[in-house]
Amino acid sequence: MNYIKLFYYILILSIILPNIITNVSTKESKKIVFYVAGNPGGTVFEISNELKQHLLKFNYDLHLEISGNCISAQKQFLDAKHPALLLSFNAMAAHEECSMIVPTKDSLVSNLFSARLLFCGRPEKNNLQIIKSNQKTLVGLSADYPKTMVTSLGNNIKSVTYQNSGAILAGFLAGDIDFFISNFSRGTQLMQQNKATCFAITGDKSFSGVPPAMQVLPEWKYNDTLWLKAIIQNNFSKEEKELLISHIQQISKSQDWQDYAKKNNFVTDTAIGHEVFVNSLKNWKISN
Amino acid sequence: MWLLFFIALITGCVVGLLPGVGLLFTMILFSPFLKGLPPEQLIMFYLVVGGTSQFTGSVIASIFGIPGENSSIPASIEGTKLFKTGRLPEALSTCAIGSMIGTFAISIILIFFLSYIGEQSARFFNNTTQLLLFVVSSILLIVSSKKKFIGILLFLLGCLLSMVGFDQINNTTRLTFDLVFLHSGIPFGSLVIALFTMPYIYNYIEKKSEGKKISQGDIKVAGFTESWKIWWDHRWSSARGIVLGSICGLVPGLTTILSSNLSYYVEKTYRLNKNIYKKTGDLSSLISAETANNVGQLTSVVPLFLFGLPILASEAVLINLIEKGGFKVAGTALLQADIFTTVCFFFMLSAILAMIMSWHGVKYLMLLHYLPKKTHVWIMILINIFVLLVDGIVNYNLYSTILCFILLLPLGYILRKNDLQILIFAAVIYPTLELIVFRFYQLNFQ
Repeated sequence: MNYIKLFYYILILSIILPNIITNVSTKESKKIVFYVAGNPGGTVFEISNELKQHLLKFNYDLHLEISGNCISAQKQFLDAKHPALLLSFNAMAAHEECSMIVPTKDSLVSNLFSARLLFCGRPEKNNLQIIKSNQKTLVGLSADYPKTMVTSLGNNIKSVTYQNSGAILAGFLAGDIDFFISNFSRGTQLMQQNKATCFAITGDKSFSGVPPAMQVLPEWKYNDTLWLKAIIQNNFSKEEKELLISHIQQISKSQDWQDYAKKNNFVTDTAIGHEVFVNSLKNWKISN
Repeated sequence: MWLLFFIALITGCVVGLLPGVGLLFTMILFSPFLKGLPPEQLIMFYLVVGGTSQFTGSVIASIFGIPGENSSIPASIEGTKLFKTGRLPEALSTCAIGSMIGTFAISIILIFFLSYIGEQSARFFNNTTQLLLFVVSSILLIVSSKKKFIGILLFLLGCLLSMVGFDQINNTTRLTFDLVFLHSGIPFGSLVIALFTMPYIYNYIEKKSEGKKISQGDIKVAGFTESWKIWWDHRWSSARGIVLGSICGLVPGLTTILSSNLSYYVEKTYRLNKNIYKKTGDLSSLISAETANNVGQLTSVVPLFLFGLPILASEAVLINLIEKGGFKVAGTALLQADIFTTVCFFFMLSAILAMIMSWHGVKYLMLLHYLPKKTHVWIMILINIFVLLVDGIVNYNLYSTILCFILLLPLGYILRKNDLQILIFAAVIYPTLELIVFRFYQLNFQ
């Protein structure tokens, strides 16, 4: 068999077939592409997919596109010629290469969720004393969390990077790290088994008996750190955007959405404006 | 429960036969139908689909050389050699027996010692242990290749290709040359088809004779007693597969991939050192790998039962489904729910049924031997293109998949005479390995 001929056939097949598939599936002109700055299995994908299911009930022609990371998602979202949606979150927006997708007054459709961060350590140890005494300590952190939160606790307190919160917990159980900072849902899992003690939470109020970090770590500078997930748009007309906002408000009040938020210990605060999101970014410097 | 079991069994068969459609995609696809089911049914569904797809995935990998699941790489290497020499029925029946024995052994061990094993392994499984497992498997892989220096270069090339895209440590892009379609990295489907299965097809075309010519009379299902006897001769390979599979099944992100690949390379190296490795297809190495991936499938859910901890993206989807049904998967909740024995019962049952299906189904697939070589080549090309499209569609990146595939095709042609499994293995493990090495530095030297 002639190789050039073989290459030629393969090229033809691999170019024509996807075009046929794409043309068949995109006949509708009013298609909205929802870019996902994460991968299936992650929180960003999960929330985007959850929102997609709800929006489909309002007859939106919505197509999920996995961009995989914020850099790719930002480029696709900003270059889109069609109506586009994107789930923007602090860690992504604070990143230098992704700063173009910080929600603005025009682009913000609605905030979806907010959550606070939890500090946990070993139950048999006096964790606060360890931090205050600036002993050499290792703190597990997701790759997209702000490292400054760890380094600000003391020059002997070092961060250790994990791919996600599940891997942090495995590392903690294996004894690799002394503390971890994670979202509320993951932190409480080990607390219930007495394998961890959570001793501080961001924000100004106690939650489930865990005191706010500002009380137990008075020198700590990142008290107002909030984890925010907001939906932003590109290429929507004013009317389309208004309609979308009203639909998302309906969704956020629905029992399904509330159950989903409750399960993950998220707060469904759609009233949070773009200013709050922008202010929160000062704590989310992840590249240093 | 029984209806769901049979749906899972059929789904698992289909998932295994359709390379590119993994457990993660299946769970996402079935989410709307599984919502609200109790945890034992959901975990049973998850394990039965995963376990059955390991059986059928090996059949298709052995015949077409396409490792749809990364855990089928050993089957695509040894299985194809055995297929060419007409020994596939015997290979599949003995591997199916090995997988079933492995499934039974690990299920029974875990039913009695789940808590103890889980607690011990959680402590044992620190970053250094994980790094050691990766280093050992990489060294074994390179050592087992004929040209070791080329092997090292291919390993490095695999790492380099895997580096393209997003740098998870520094949160930036690398090696993308500002091309948007590379920002998410080279899609796995493009990589494996352009650099592993297409070179296999090139080599297949170039080879004049394909080993022993098979006549229609040769195509028969391997006998029951005969297969058990052959398996018994390789029982220690299965035993090694059970041990390595159960350990590697706990490695976050890799589970069955590391289970089958490490078991394969350990067995292959062991047999090469003893000068008993068969170049025309080594059944022992294949049995070890196939036993290990089924064992790894079950041990991968151990952290879920003991700590509510997902170590795979597909398990994160599973947890989400369980919690949507109102069951909070926190800590030991699943263990306390006392569902592990039920789940293991169905997992073992699925192993028996999958064994029978892959054992007897092979006689139909072996008919492919009678097709003219040209037709065989075209079937392989069309299946590869189909797999590529499915991979692109299910991962929502069809165009970058096609584009990367086209760009990598010439490289596959240039490298066709080399041991490309090293390159693919390196590309698969690199993202996890990179983080483990970086963490090793953070834990010990910062």
